Amino acid sequence: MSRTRQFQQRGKPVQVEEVGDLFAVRTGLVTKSLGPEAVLKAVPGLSKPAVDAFHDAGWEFVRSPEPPAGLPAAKLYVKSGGRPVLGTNRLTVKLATDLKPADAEVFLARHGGKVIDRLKFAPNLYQVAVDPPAGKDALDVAGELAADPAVEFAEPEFLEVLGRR
Amino acid sequence: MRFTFTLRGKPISLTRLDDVVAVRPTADVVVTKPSRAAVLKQFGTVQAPDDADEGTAFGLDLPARSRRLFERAGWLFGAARENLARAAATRTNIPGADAVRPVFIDRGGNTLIGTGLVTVQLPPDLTEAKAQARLQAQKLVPIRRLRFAPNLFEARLRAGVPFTDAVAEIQAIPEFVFAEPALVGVLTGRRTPTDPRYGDQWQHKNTGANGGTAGADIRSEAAWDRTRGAGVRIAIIDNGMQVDHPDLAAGVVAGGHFESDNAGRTTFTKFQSGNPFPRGNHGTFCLGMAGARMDNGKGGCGSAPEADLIVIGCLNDQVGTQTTLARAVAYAADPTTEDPSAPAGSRAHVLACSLGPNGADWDLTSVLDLALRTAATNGRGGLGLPIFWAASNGTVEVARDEICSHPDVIAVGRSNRLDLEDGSAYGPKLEFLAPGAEVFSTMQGGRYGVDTGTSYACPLAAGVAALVLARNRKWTRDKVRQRLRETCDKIGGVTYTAGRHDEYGYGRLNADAATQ
Repeated sequence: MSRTRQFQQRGKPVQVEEVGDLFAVRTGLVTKSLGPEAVLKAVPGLSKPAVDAFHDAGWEFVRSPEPPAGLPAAKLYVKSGGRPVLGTNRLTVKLATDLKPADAEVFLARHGGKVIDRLKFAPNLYQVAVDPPAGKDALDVAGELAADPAVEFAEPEFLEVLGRR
Repeated sequence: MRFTFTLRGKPISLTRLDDVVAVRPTADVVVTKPSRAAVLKQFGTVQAPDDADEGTAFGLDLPARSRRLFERAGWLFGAARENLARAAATRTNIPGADAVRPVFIDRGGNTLIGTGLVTVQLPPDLTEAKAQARLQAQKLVPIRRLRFAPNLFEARLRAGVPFTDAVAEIQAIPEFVFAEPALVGVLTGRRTPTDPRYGDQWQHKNTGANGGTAGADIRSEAAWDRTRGAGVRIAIIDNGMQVDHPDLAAGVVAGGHFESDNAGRTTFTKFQSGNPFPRGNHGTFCLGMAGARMDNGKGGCGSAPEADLIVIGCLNDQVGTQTTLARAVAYAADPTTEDPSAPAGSRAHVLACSLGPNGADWDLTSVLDLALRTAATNGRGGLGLPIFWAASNGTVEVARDEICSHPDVIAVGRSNRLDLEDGSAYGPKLEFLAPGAEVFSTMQGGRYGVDTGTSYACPLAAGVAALVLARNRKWTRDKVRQRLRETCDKIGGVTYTAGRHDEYGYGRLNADAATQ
């Protein structure tokens, strides 16, 4: 059970497959989880090294139609080439207008965002946590923000495997 | 001022340093390191100061390494005040000095001191007496006959005529087979490191052992005769590394590590010697490929064995966001983005990273794009930061990896000991290859070992860039990139079109050619 999602990245539309019935949780929070082999079987075409790396880094996958109740859980997405990534509630946002940090916080709060870090290597660049209302997620909020002319870009953050070459 | 003359029938062009002269005091003048300035003062001049910032060049643009060797040989370098400039130009002496001479720099950046001597050969059918008479007719004073060839003489140029004019005059004489000026240079032996496992490092010098092809290497030794990267800072981003490895610790000067908590928040911790740092074989290996120390009685050495190392740990469990990687890239170019108290002396001159998925697409976020562009453009005080990234292992197109195909990123593939491409990513975005198959370097736990990956070719290449920068401090990153491209060896027995081949890029790096 998956659906195609789309968001803007570097000004271009990017499509990912959202796996609807698999969620990632930190190891030890659930008693019944799928091992890497079961995840690969459930989602054909996933990169095995990446699934193994998530597992090694302390992530487990549970099969559930809804996010596991009461647990911090991440949605599983599949990017081009079968690369699995995990959704977060964070965005990177660069404001087009030169707002003072305090004003930027007010602006982002109007979109349901909270500044958790200002990235100092570029002006008006923020890491923002979002708390979407029911029925929406960080990808939706990124899309809404990106449509605002005061925003240069707003992109969802994904947890991905930064492997070794 | 340019000084052009002919050597073995080919034009040679040197730069004469107008603001420096070389002075050789008479034997009765005691010269010690502390007394050099006082001795030069007796000659009415001042000693050129060392450049405190960079440490390897000094105010009068002479390579410091050559300067030290000349000084040990009894030469002093001083500002070309009027009396000294005149003496150097006309080869006349001043009280207390055996010689005052002009100073030149050749294309390779080597220092040369002019002399009053030339080597001249006359036609072999002349008797010795006639040959000597012809020399005297040209106002050359024969010093000695060199008996290993007919009518070959060492002779002194007449005093009073500027050295460059005198050389031009004798080279225009048609009856001389040749007439070439004698220049004093530094003749050092080719440096072969004494490190006990250096013989395993075919990447530096491939002797053909273990099934390899002799010469299938990056020609490190010839490059090390010129520089070993002192004063250049190489940043390595990796999941973790053993910063206290006995073959690396002496080179580590700065850095820090980024780690995410369960909530995805990333924290930065500044490197401090003795404090815990995320460990890892991969990063330790990478660090050694670029900067393992030379001649320390341990293991082998890196391609820039005297460069300073900036260690940047990023996501020790290999899972994280591109925002964290972007922070690591930005930190390399400008550490004040994470540590407001970081001194300018902790900014990287070269960056290498060997992280990324293998054989899969890798999409680039705006935040990492911004960090790469900012670091590449603004790094090194605006000269730009050369950024090296390991291309994917496996025969996939580099273009599928948006980080390695970024215009500000130099994508490095790997070659093997036969000088063939070794199955790394290919395509128009591949820059060049460097040895990365079965190479020897440092490993976690103070150990050493052999491993394979584009990961290792990448820091080796970054080390070569550090050697180039050590010789050319003011070069932009584009100029460094261009130099590396144009000096690659065209290996593989394939046809390169417009200097490139999709599986070899511009070829395999050649540190010797790049540092000339």
